[in-house]
Amino acid sequence: MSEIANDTARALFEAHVKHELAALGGDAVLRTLAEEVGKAFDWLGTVTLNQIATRAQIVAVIDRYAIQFRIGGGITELAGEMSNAVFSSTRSEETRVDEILPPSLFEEFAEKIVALDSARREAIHLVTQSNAYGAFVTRVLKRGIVDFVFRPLDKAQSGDSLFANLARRVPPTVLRDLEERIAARLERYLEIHRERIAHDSEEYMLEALDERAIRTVADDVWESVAPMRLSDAFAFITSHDLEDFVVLGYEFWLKYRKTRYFRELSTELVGFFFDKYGDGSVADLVSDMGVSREMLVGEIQTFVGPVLAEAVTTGFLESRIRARLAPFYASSGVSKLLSEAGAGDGSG
Amino acid sequence: MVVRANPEKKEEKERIRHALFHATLSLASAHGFASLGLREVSREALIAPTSFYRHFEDMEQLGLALIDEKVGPLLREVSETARARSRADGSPFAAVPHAVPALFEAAADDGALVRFFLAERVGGIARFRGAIEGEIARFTTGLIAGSDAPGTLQSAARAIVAVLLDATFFGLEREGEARAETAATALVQLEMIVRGAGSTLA
Repeated sequence: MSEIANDTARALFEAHVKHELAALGGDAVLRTLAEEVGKAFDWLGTVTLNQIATRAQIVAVIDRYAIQFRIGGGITELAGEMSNAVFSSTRSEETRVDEILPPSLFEEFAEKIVALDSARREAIHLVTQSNAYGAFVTRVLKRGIVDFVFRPLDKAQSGDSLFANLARRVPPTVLRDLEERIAARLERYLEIHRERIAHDSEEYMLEALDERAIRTVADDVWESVAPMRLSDAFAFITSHDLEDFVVLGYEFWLKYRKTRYFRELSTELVGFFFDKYGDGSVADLVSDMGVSREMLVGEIQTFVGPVLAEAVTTGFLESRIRARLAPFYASSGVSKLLSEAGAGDGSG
Repeated sequence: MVVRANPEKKEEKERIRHALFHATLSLASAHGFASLGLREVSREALIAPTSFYRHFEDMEQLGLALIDEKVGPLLREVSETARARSRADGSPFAAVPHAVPALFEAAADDGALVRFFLAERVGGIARFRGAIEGEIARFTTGLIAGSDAPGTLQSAARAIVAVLLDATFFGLEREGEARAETAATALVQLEMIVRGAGSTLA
């Protein structure tokens, strides 16, 4: 620390340190902070966003922190651990699904989803045109037709199959061979007509899965899910699945933030934001974000108060004040001023 | 009260890092590095995948760390062993014949690491190829002094190292007599290269 040779300067330095400590300790600092936040809010009412920041600055901040910044490994770890903590919390055993998602809200969600008609049509189209669906339908049709022809209608009525009479007259090997041949031919037929079958089933599905049917399915699902405990609902997912989802989401974000789309979109959104708020006062913008001066003062008092109290108790605050002020009181400028004012060096 | 960083935390971090290396090598031996995902590697290392990022940014960074921290020292050890076993007869190639058994011993001690490095030398990840190329260049200079300067010695040194690495690769897949035969063939090929460069193997 700088040595203060001048006695008067040393006395002033000690008085200044005492003054700062008194201002920053106890309730005084909270009053000061409340007052300063109030003044800052008043001032922010007189300046516009365009006066204190530019679009380029904000885009640069996004680039630094959203695109380039390496997210600490501790954050993903914490996200995974906290997700697991939520899943394994005893609160989840005591809370029902419909306590989190009230039935009235579910109703609104369901109605909105049911009303998404073009999305429903597109989803059905995509599913029915997929190879997986085509293979599935072919297999189900083949199995169904072969069963209908060769199996009894009911296990107890062994004589009811279409080929029942034939089955009694020919050896089982012949019947098996016939079944295999018909199944193979049927498979070829279905394969050849796969496109038409897919097209037809798309129409059937559009008819079958109309708004009312989807709503019924949603209501049925809700009826069984609503009374479930959250822990039971969560049981469908293991902690490993949860960790995997956190990693997948994070990996997606890492890739997505580097895309040209994200960069250009964020620039566009910053532009939109400035178009909307650029000429308005910063206080209006802060208010639109739902932040009031009372909130800010309250939160500062909640968090800054205890931190400052601890800094005073441990002597940290005093050591920092001394470190900041000592060079000034030890400076030749202060010595000169004091000499000129007739408060010379009492030590000499 | 003074709150300090837990020294055990550093050791634990090292332990997990080592476990991730081990898991990667073990899985890469069976499926190749390119097919590995960080979730699979993390589970093999008995850590949560979400903790992986505490140690590496992604799988590529893990692979580069493996090359830097494991492959480099392994190759340095091989060249030092070969040099220590050779007689200082003034020939730049004196350590070459001893590099064959030294590499085979390294492969026997840590087959997964040697397999990883030999596979990634020609693998699909450009940054790995570049990093391994750098390690091989240092290995070549360590084994054959003066081979970093362009000329006949450098060309011969490169051919020698190519033979050494190929022999090690084939040696990894063989056992007993077949492996010894691979080593013997490599020695003959090395002799031919060295003679071609106007020198003899010690």
